[in-house]
Amino acid sequence: MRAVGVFLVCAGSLWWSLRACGRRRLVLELLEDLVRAVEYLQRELSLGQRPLPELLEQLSQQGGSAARAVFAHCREGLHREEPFSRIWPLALEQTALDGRQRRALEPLGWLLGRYDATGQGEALSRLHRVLEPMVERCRQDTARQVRLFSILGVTAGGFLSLTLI
Amino acid sequence: MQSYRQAVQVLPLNLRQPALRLSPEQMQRVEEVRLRVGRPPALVLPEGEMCLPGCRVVEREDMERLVEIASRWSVHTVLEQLCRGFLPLEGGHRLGLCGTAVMKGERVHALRDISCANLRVARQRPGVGLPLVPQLRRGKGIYSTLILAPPGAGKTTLLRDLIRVLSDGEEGLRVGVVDERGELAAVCRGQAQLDLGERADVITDCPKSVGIELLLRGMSPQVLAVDEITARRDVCAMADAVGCGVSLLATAHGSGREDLERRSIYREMLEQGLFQRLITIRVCGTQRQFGVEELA
Repeated sequence: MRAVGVFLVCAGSLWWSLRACGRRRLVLELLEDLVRAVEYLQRELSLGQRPLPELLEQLSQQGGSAARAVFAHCREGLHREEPFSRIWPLALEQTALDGRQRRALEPLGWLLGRYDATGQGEALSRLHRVLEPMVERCRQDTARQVRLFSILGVTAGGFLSLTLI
Repeated sequence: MQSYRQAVQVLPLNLRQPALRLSPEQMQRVEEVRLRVGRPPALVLPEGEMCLPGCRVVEREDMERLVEIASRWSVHTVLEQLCRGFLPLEGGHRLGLCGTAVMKGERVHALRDISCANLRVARQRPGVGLPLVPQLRRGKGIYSTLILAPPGAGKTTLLRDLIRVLSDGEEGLRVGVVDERGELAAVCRGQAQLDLGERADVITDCPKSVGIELLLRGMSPQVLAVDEITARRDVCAMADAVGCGVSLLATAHGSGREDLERRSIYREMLEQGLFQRLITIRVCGTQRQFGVEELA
């Protein structure tokens, strides 16, 4: 009985720490995908004249796996003829991004498709400059927190096991 | 009716629904849908304007939605057309827009605070030009012909049908079309939405003078068709084309022959003898009457 208890406590702690780490990694992956999407949009705007629904379609199918759902949500919103400025913040709300990260990305909603290609390109460059250090910080935080959560998980599991035994 | 249904798809949902509740007979007769901020939407019928039933007044947000839908949420892809005052839509329809112009030097850089819009329903009238063709024929070719009429009389519709009639059939002519404003062929994503016949080669979104040169160089047309002559450089390019043995089909604003004498650019065309035939259009109620006369 005690052995089962110890096993369950260890498994629970491990699950908790893995979940916390997974969530951090997901946020990092999403931010990295969004940076890549911004770069893609910059390229498309400087090269071609593709309309926003097509770009979103492309990103929702071939973008990074973490960001696909965000762009698919936006694409569906445009099909319902909702303004992009309303769809984008809603799509961000459904992600695991924190408030600061969401606030940094929100300008994209009233930026895309509303200005000339040059104006959008410049604004995307500015956004890129804001996002890059954010991703780097997130990467460092994630590595640190993954270590922290792993140690905490193992320690908590060990401590509870000892208490139980 | 199908044409009207397709055209109103560009309206925001709250305006589209009442627009689609019209009777089929009314849909058939609507020429334009006019939106003005602070006023209820109006339908332009052959007999005049009437309010769109069951609709509240148009708000600024409706205009924003309208431009978003018409540009597919991508103003950057239609900015040039927007600065010229209208957007060509799928199906050959046209959305004219008015607002505050943002100038960059001499040029309109953007339009903001859109206050009025005019959705023109494209309707092809196949056969409208057919009775006129015998009077324009010269052997296997045609006389250079100018279509003169006031705005809204149907110059572009007639020109489009003449192109179709001339370029179709076994003895059809190669017609080069410079569709500067996208109204003749209504090319949308690379595909002509309106029928210009079998042997029409269309160059779109290109200034007439440049388009004429490109067509002459690359497509060896027998007839060159251009809509709305407005600039001297267009006349120069047309004169060059006539010098190459090409016949012209063109339209110009004016209500009668006397207007040709009045405007210096038209006078120049007459003096140079660019055209040998003149077609005038008279609007009589819901009907159009065409007259063909010789130009000396």
